Amino acid sequence: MTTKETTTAKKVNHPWSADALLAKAQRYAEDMLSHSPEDWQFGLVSTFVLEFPARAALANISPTLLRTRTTRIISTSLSVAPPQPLSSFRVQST
Amino acid sequence: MFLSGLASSGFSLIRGFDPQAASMDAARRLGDVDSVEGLGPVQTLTPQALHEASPNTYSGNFGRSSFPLHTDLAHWARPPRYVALRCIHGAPHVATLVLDGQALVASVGADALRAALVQPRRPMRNGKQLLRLLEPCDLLRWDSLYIHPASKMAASVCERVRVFLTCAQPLEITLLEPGDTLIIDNWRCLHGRSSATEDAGTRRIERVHLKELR
Repeated sequence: MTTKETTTAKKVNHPWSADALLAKAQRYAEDMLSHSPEDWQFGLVSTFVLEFPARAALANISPTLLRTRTTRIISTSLSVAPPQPLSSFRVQST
Repeated sequence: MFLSGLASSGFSLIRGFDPQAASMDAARRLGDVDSVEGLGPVQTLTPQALHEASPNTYSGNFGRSSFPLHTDLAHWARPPRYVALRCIHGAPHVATLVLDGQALVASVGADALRAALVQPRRPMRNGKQLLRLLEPCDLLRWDSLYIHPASKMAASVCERVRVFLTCAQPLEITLLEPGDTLIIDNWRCLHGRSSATEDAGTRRIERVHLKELR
């Protein structure tokens, strides 16, 4: 085994920590592989598998990056345009 | 001196280590004491019957029977790195069992253990976090009581671990004289306790968790 980092005992990982997000990605990957690639559920779950490592990469810099404008940041990281909210659901400013 | 033992086998035994000193003072000579949430800095371990012990403890589940091999606080995100067990009052027929986890990793496979996701048996802070049996930092965790598999694949790996541990031959170390101190790398070794008869009720071991050794 390699040299281990010493650390203080910790009860729980923050849900937005890179470790927690990567574990979720791993769990979704297991779910994904339980479906046939032709199955629509395979496609759906695979998006989560992609999303969580992207979130983990951001959380690795700082979990606060997940807090602000999450969708925009992830979309930018993945080089895709962020989805626009439907006009009927847009909050009207007073 | 004890550091070389820890590096080679994952544990180290120091006989008669400053028996007059309080366990906390002795532990401070060994390394930095870890303050573990919800536990006092020094915990006293004594064999207890099933009905005497709190239900969320090993004694509350196994009584005076042998304790299965486990790592301390395996359901935590980061379990304490080292466990120091120090004899206050020994019992000749009760042994601490120690098994080097490297044998488990070699048998089950590091990749399988890393892929096995487990969860605490009960929610902690309103959630059940996902943990790996072998974390990327080479932290090995195992507890047949406090962690449960989080998927079918993890269930099959946990079963392989159970089968391995059923056949494993742990070392039996008797902490007999005051001051006998066993330091276990809790990220590498599993430990347990042999069964204790009623007359071993006077056995007193004090446990201190350490985050770093000197």
